[in-house]
Amino acid sequence: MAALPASFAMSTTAHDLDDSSTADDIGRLRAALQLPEFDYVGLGVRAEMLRALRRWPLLDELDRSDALPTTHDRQEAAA
Amino acid sequence: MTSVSMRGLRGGVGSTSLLAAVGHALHSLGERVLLVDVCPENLLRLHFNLGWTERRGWARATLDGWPWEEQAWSLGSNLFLLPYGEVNEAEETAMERRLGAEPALWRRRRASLAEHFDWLLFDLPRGHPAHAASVGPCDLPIRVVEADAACHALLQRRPERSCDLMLVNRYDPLCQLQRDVLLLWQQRHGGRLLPVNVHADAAMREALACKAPVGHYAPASLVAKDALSVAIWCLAQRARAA
Amino acid sequence: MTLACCFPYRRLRQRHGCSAVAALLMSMINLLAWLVLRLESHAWRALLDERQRWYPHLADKRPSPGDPLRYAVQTLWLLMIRPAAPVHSPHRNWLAAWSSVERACGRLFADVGQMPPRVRRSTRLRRGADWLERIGPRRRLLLYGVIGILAAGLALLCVTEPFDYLAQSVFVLLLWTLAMVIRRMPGRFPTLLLLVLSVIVSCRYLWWRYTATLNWNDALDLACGLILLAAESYSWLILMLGYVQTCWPLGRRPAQLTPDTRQWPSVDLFIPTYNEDLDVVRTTVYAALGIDWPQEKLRIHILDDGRRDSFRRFAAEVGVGYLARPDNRHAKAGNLNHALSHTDGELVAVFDCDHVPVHSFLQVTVGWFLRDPKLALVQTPHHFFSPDPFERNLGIFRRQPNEGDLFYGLVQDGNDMWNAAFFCGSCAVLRRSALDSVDGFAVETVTEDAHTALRLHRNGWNSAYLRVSQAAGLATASLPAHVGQRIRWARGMAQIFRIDNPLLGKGLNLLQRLCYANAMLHFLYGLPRLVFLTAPLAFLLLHAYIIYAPALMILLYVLPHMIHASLATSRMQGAYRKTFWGEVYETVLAWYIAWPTTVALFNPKKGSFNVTAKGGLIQEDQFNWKIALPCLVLAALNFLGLGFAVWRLSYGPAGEIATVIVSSLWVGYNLLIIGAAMSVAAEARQVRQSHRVQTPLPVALRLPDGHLFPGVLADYSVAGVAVRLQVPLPLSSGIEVNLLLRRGEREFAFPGIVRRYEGDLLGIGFETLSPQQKIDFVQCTFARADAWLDWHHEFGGDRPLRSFADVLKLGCEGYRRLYLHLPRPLRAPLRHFGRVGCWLGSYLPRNPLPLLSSPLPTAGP
Repeated sequence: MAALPASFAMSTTAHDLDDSSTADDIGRLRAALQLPEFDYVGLGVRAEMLRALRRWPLLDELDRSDALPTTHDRQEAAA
Repeated sequence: MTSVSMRGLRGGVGSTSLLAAVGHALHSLGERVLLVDVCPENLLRLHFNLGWTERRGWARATLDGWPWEEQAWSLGSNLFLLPYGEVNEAEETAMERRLGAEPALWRRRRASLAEHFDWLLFDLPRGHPAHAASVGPCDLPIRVVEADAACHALLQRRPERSCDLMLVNRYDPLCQLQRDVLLLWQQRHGGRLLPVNVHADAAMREALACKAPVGHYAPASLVAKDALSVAIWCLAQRARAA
Repeated sequence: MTLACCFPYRRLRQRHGCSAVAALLMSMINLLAWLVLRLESHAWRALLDERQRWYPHLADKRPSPGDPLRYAVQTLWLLMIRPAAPVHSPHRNWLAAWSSVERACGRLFADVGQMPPRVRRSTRLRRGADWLERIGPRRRLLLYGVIGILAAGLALLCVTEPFDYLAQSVFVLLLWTLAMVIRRMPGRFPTLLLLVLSVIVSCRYLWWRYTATLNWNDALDLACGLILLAAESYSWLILMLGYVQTCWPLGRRPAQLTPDTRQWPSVDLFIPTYNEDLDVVRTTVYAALGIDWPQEKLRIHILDDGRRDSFRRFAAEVGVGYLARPDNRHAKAGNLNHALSHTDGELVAVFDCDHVPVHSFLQVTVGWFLRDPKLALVQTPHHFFSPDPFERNLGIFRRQPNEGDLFYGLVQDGNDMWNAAFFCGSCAVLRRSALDSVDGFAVETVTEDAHTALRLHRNGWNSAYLRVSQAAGLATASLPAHVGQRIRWARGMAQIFRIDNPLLGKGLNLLQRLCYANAMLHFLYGLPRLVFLTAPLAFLLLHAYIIYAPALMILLYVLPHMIHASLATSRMQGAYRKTFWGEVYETVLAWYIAWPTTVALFNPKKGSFNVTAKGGLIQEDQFNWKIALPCLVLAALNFLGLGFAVWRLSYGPAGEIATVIVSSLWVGYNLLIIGAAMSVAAEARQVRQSHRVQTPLPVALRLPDGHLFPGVLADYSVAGVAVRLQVPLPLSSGIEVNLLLRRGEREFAFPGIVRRYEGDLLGIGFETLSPQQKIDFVQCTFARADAWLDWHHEFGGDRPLRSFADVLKLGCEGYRRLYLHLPRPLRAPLRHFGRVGCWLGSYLPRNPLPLLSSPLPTAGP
């Protein structure tokens, strides 16, 4: 039977910092405020998404054909 | 035992390499892992230093009437690989027909493997519905996608598969389109998307050329860390299910 | 036994290089020891083998003639402090008694620590509460009244009853014991108990001072005594007002906004600037552009009082408003008022141009405006990501609370309890209709912020304070700038106190009046502080009895007053300011603040707005003689006082010795506080133009060949980052790499160039970022919602004695720094003093080293 050539060694030091929880700044804010239910609206992300749809016609077309809450967002942005 | 399946949403998104990397990462975390290649291309073995001329595999054995369980390769303690085996086109069709006739084949086999392994990882093919169906429902069915327009369009086309989880592979944050598509997915498919994106790292392609999973070939690379993150996420899912 | 072993003259001469005399002396002693003592015995060997541990300062030293004496002193010390084996010690009974007392205290403290939950669980107490509930409000009020009158009577008795030595000693000891026990209890109620004890003791002290310590028969005594008493009364007043202000911090949390963003109010975000660099303003604008608020409801304006074209162009480039006016009347307040007249948003957010808001700023702060229609103001802390001169020059940045932490951590939170949190000029949101009702920002004083808030409160508006750092800025760069800023604040507060006194006029409730009064009176500390720093000299130099009482009695009154005040303040403020550090801050500024505040009190119209310089560089280490001058004079006076003390001790009447000693102790304390203040004047070098923020964040690098590697962000600034790598990478200066940064679910790539690569630290500079990338970079770093949240968690708790020791050490450090920066001709004679001091110090015994680590026990058999 063929076995792997050398010993398995995996560095886990990079995981001392857990990426997704460190990157989630709003989550950490909620924890610091002790308000786990604090509702945060990522408006910057929403605006960026609308820009993305404007940038790429195919994405926009697919999004229009999709009967998901997008249309609501779009109306909201237009309002 | 937890079962994971990985399948590309379209061809060439690198799901086989990713499966090898995640399997290796799970093993490095001390888990007992069996990787099963269900793709007739039979490429998974190459990630684990098996010879090109090595023809054996479970499909080959099934066709030839040998015991399938003797086809597994031990890749160190508690890491095993079950290749598909070399088959020609006619045999591939025959195998598909046979699996169609015997849809519970792998479900049965999985039951017999349960006590020996913590993780069963299936590399599922696209376009061989009976192959995929024979494996049965997995605990973590993962669709491997690339953040591009083709995958986006395909996602739109297949609402019936929307229960699968999505794992973004070859993510390149330098690319505006990829950033935009990912952002869109995070908004639209937030619940299905794994919290980890696997980055487009040259080390991933080099790993196959060196016949090793990326965690072994380039343990310091970002993509190895990403694979490890996926593995840790898998562990967390198992803990949550328990 | 060789001769060399008994008489090591040659070895000492050759290997250790001692002088002939020392070598001969040591050899003789060695020989004598070998002849007389049984050095080969077990006990002696044990001692000699651990010479390093028991005689740490002598073991590696070159032997000199004084060593026998040093050994003798150290041995004596060891015998005194550390009976080698307690089991065989003749003091065994004492030790046993002491350790049982210790054990009993430990048990008591552990018990007391469990008290609050036990009290909460107690059924008898619950029955009592139920009974109180049952008797009805009228009778309950009566009961409270009776208890209150009894308590007040008792307190009055405690404050006014004159005691003799014995009674006073017993009284203060009892209160002290009580305080030491209460201290161990967690919770707010015990804090209030400590506070009550402190109030009683301090009131008693002041009562005693007024009734028993003034010498009405001597004009000089009386004059000096009254000055000191006035200063003490001021301190007492500030202490009491401070207790009221901070006894119950509100700890307000953000209010939730409605989920429908269409109901959110529109906001005008003002960034007033006058002469600051465009680079500073850029970061703020980039951060403001990323604030999560409906795009059409957030308008950002740069209010440029410098009327600079570069700012106008930049505003147009990034698409924010630019407002300039023809004149600079009323400085910042005028600038803001001008902007108010050109905008129409429902809310107004104000950021000093160097204060970078995080992207969650508005969603965290605005909720309260929706909940309370009479809310005029939400203030958040001013957080600084660069060290202020105190932190930089004393090396305490991010290790200890800074000067502002007390105010933003506790005082404003306490004010909020009484609806008296006030506007601080930046990092705040105000309601336009409220501002309109008071004719905009107040322009009459140089601290428009506090004055505006005072007017809002007078008009029945509410204010709120949220202790969440949602913006951060640059601290003042140099000590003169820092002093200048504090002078402005002090002058402004004194002006408000004169022209719009919070104790008078309409619209405020009593507690608001007290909070505002404290905020303003607090800045009058200049003169009283100078009085305290010179008071003992009145006796030592002029022979004036400023406290006309026996020395022991003074101690019996002063010490409890100081101890209880520190215990209470340490309990309330410990997390935000270490005990005794306030005195250092005040001593630095006292002289500078004394004059402007006094002038402003008499003539509030005088004085103009001076802009605080931020950023900037200090090229090399230097001693700021100009700033330190008042301290130098004070130090010289106090040293003179010490000289007089020596003279009085030698030639003065025997009856005064105790008074001289007490005065000298006071002078010594003053000298050390002054020394600590002087050590701030030794300015440390500041090398980088843009300050680097140290925050460990996971990042990744993308190399030109398509390989990616993870790393950890070591620090960042607008100009670049440093990344700690886990493996060595094939990189060198000039190579282009991409830095991958995440915030939330999004990941961004920033093209940069390797600037340096040393060890595992990679420096990357950004020069080619597009405007969008600059915004994204600021959003991934400075503008993260959590960027400044855990900034303080490295501060340990306050321990008054430790903090006292730190300040004293800092005092000595101040004199050392002064010496190091003295001109050479002055330094030479002092060096001899120093040498003599060091030589004498070398005889002092040291504490033995801790046991050297013995080999670890092996695991298992």
